[in-house]
Amino acid sequence: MKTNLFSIILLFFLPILLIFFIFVLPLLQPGLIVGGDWTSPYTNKQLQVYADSVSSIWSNREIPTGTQTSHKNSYPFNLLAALFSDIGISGESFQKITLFLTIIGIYYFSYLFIFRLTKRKTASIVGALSYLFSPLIFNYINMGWNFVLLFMALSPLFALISINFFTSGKFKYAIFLGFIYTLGFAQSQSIVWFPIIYLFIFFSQFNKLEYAKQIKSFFMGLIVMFSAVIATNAPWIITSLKYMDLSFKSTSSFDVDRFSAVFSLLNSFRGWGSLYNQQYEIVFPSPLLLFSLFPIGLIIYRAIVNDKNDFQRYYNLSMCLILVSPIIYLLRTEIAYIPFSTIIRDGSRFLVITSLGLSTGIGLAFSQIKNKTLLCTLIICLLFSVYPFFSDGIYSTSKSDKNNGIFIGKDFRLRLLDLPMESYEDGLDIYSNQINLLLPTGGSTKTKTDTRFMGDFWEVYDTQALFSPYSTGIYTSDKSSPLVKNFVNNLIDSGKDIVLTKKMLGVYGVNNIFLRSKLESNIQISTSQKKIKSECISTMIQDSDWSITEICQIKDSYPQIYISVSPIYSTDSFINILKKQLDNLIVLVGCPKDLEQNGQICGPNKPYTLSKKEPSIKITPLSATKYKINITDISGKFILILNETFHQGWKIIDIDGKEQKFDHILINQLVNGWVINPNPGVTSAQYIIEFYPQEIYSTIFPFSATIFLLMALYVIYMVIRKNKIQK
Amino acid sequence: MKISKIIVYIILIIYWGVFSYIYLHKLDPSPSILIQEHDASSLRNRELLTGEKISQEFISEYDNLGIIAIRFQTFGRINNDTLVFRLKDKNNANWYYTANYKTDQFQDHQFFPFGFPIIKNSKGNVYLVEIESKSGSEEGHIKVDRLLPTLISKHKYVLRQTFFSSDTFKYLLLKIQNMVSSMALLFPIIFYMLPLVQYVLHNLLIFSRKKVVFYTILLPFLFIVIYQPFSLSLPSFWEFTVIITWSIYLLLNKVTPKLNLVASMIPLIYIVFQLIEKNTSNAEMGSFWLFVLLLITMIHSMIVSLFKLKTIDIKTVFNNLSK
Repeated sequence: MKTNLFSIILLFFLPILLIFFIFVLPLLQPGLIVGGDWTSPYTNKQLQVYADSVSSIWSNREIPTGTQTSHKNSYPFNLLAALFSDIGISGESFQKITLFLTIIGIYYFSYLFIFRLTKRKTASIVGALSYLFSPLIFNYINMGWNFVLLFMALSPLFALISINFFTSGKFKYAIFLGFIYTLGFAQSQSIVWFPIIYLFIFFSQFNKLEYAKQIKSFFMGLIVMFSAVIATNAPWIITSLKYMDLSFKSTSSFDVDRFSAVFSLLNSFRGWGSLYNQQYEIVFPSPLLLFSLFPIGLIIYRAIVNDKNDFQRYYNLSMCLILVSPIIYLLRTEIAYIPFSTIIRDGSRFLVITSLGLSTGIGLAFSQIKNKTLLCTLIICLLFSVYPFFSDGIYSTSKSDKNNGIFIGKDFRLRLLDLPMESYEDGLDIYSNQINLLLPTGGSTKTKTDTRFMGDFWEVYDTQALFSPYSTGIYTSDKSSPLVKNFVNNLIDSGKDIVLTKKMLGVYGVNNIFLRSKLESNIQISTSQKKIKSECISTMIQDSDWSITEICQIKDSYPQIYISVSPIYSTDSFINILKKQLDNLIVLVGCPKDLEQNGQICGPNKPYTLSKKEPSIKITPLSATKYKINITDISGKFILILNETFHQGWKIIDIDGKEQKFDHILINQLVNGWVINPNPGVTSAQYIIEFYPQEIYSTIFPFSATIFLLMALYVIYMVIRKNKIQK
Repeated sequence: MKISKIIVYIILIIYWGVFSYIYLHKLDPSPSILIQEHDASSLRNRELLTGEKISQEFISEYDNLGIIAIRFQTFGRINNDTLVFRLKDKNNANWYYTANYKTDQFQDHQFFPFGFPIIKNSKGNVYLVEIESKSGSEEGHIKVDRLLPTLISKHKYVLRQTFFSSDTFKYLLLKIQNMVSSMALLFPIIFYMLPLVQYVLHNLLIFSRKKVVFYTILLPFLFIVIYQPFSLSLPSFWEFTVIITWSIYLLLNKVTPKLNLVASMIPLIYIVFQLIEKNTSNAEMGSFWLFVLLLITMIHSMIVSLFKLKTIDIKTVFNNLSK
C-alpha cells in the first residue's frame, strides 16, 4: 500500500510540482517571452494578424513594399492561432498555453518512450525528468524558441511510434509518424532530425531474420512521412521553388562559424550549447562542473556492465543519438557545401537529438539499478548536473532587475516583455487603411531605459512590427535580397534628415512613420529632435519603452499603382537622386552596380520613347495581391508602376486572362514597372495585375490544409480507439 | 598464407606508402632536396612581440642552401605581424639576404619557408639566421614552436648525370641517410606504419602464446605517446591511423565492442582531470577521443550484429590480460 502511494506521488505529483514551480509559476506573471529572433503576438488583434498571415505569401514583414514569404512551414500553428483568436484569447496567453502544453509533452512523451524501452516506471520518470531539465530546454526557454521545444516534445513520441511501427509493420503507425513529422516541421531543421531518429530506431529494431519485411517497412514509413510533409506543405514549397529568392537558396558559409560559436565536442557530451545562447553554461557553478559529465559517464559505465541483449540495443540507440550533434559539428564545413544546407547546418541545434539520447541512456541506466541507496545517490548527482534550473539562473522577471549584468557576456535570462499596447491599439484605428512604418526597426530592438532589455540582453524581436494590425517594420539580415538591402541602405543614408526619410518612404507609398523614441535598433536612424518636432506630431504616450511617441504623417505619398511618362534615367543611388529632386515626382529607371550584378532588370541603355501625355488610371483592388486597372486617354507608350517590391511573379494579364508580355523593369530601384506599349489607335485598356505565386498558393492551400486536418483527425481517432481497447 | 591475409598486407603497405609520400611531399614537393635539421633549442617557445629579435647559428652540411624553414605556432588565429628575415655567413659583416614576411599566411605548427637565392658553396660554412618582429602585439603575434624539428635548412642537390648513374645512387644514399638521421623526420613515416605493425605483431604472436596477443596493442600505442615528451609533431591524419590500428586490434582479437566503451573511460577520466585543471583545450582533445571511441563502438556493434560475429566478452578479455 505504501509503495503504491509512493509510486503515485512520484509518478504524478512530483513532475507536476516541478513543472509548476520551475516553469509555470514564473511565467504566470504578465508579459511575453522574448529573446533573440523569435517572438509571438501579444494582443488578441496581433494574434489575429498572425492567424490571417496563413492565407498570403506576399507580406510586408521585411519592408513596407512587401516580399515573398519563402516558407510557411508553421501554418498549423497559424490555424491554431485562428482558433484561439476567435474565442478572444490574447497572443500572450496563446504563447504561454502552447509553451505549457509543450513542456508537459516533453515530460510525458519522453516518459512513454523510456517506459517502452525499460518497462520501469521510476527509471522512466528519472529519464523523462532529465530530458525536461536538460540544458537545451533551459537555453531555448530563455530565447522563447517554442518550435525547437515543440520538436523536443514530439521527438520521443516519434521514437516510440517508430518502434511500434517496426515491430508491428502496421500502416496506421506510418500515418502517425507522417503527422508528427508534419507538425514538427514547424521547426524547419526537423526535416532532417526526424529521419535521423527514424534511422537509428530502425537499426535498434533490426532483426536479421526479418530483414526483408523490416527494410520494406523502413522505406514505406519514409515514403509516407515525406509524402505527408510535401502534401501538407506543397503550396509554399511549389511557389518557393518556382520563384526562388536568395534566402531560400543561399548556403551562407558564414553560418558555419557563427552557429558553432558556443559549441564544442566537450559541450555536446554534456548536452550544452544552443546557437548563441550559453546562459546555462554561464550560470553553471564551477564547483559542480564535473557533474555536468555525470550523465555520459553513467551511461557508458552502465552500458559496460549491462548483460542483457535487449538493453544493449537500447544503449547503442542512446549512444547513436548522443553522437549526432558531435558528428554534425565535426562535418559542419562539408555540410555547408550541400545545397539548401542553410536549413540544417546549425550543428548546435542537433543537440535536441543528443539530449534525447542522454535522457534515454539515463532511463536505461536507472532501470538496472536496484540498490536504493545507490539510486538516491545517483539522483542527487543528476540534480547537481542540472543545478541552473534550481538556482535563479533561468528567469529575470522582475521589472527592477538589480542583478542585471552580473554575468559575463550577454545576459540571456528569460524576461517577460510587458507591452501596454491594448490601450493605444484602438487609438491607431484611424490609420488602419494606410501604410505605416515603425521606426526604429530592423528586426530586433533594444530599449534605452528598461534595464531588462538594454544592451547586455539578447535583442528583442520586434513584436509590434511583426504582428501589428496597423503598421509594418523592416527585417534585414545577411540573407536579405539585394533589393531589400538596397532599400535599407538608402533608408539609413536618409536617416539624419527626417524630411528626406519621409520623402523616400513616401515614394514607396508609406503614409505615416510611427516613431518609438525610447527604442534602438539595428537600423540606426538618428534624426535630430528639432526636426522631429517640426515634422511629426507627439502622441503624448510615454508609458512604455515600446510606446509610439510621435507620428510623422507623409503627405502626397505615392499611390499603390500609378503611371509615368517622364522618368529619370540614372545609375546613381536612389537616395542621391532623391536629394536632388526633393520637390519633384520621382520615377527612376536604372540601377546602381550592386543591383545590376544581382540580375535585376535595370531598364534600357537609352531612354524609352514615351507618350507626351499621361493617361488616366482607375484602380479597383480585388485582393491584397490582385488589382483591376482601367486606363483611358492612352496616346502612346507609358510606364505603369506598381508600388510593390519587384518580383518576377507580378504579372499583367488582360481581361480575358491572357498574360501580357510588356517589359517588366525595376522602378525606383525597388518596385515593379511595366513599359506598356499599346496597339496603335488604342485609347483605353483594362488589365489585371496579380501576384501569380499567390494564385498558385491559394489554389493548392485548401487541399493541403484538408490533408493535414484529416491526418490530425485520424490520429485522434487512433488514440481514442486504442484507449478504449485498453480499457 | 591465406589470400585474404596477403590482401590485407598489401592494403596496409599501400596505406603506409601513400601517407608517407603525402607527408614527404608536403614537407618538400621537390625530390632533389636534402633536408638538414638543426638544433634550435634557444629559439623554441620564443614569442615574437614588437622589436623582438631571435637568432640562430648553424653549420651547413650540404652545398646549395636555398631555404630556411622555421616551425611557428600561430595560436590558431590570424596574426597581423610582419617579420624581417635576415641571413648571412657568420664571418661576413653584411647580411646576405633580407626580406619581410606577413604572418597572416603562417599556419599553426607548420614550417614557414624563407627562401633566398641559392648559396652554391654552403657546405661547411656557419650561417646566422635572424628573425625580427615589426608589429607583434599581445593579441596578434606568433611564437617559435616547441615541436621538433624547429629549424631546418633545405639544400638543392644537382644531379650532374642521367638516371641510373653513380651520381644518382650517391644522391639516393644521401637522401636515405638524410631521412633516417632525424627521428623527427622519421617519426611520421614510422607512424603511418602502425596499422601494419599491429597486423604483423598479431600474426607473429598468434602462433606462439595466444594470450600475449592481447598485449600487441601496447607497442603501437607506446609509440604514439612518446610524441609528447619528445616534442615531436604528430603527422596529418594521425587520428585516422590510430583508429585503423585500434580497429585492426579489435577485429583480429574478436573482442566485444564493449572494449571500446572501457577504453572510452580513459578519455572521460582525462576530461575530468583537465576540467579540474581548467584546461579546456585539453578537455576538448579528450572529448574528441571519447567521440572516436563511442563512434567505433557503434560501428563495431553494427558489424558484429549484422554478420553475427562471435566475440570474446569483456571478462574473458580482462582475464586473458591479467593472466
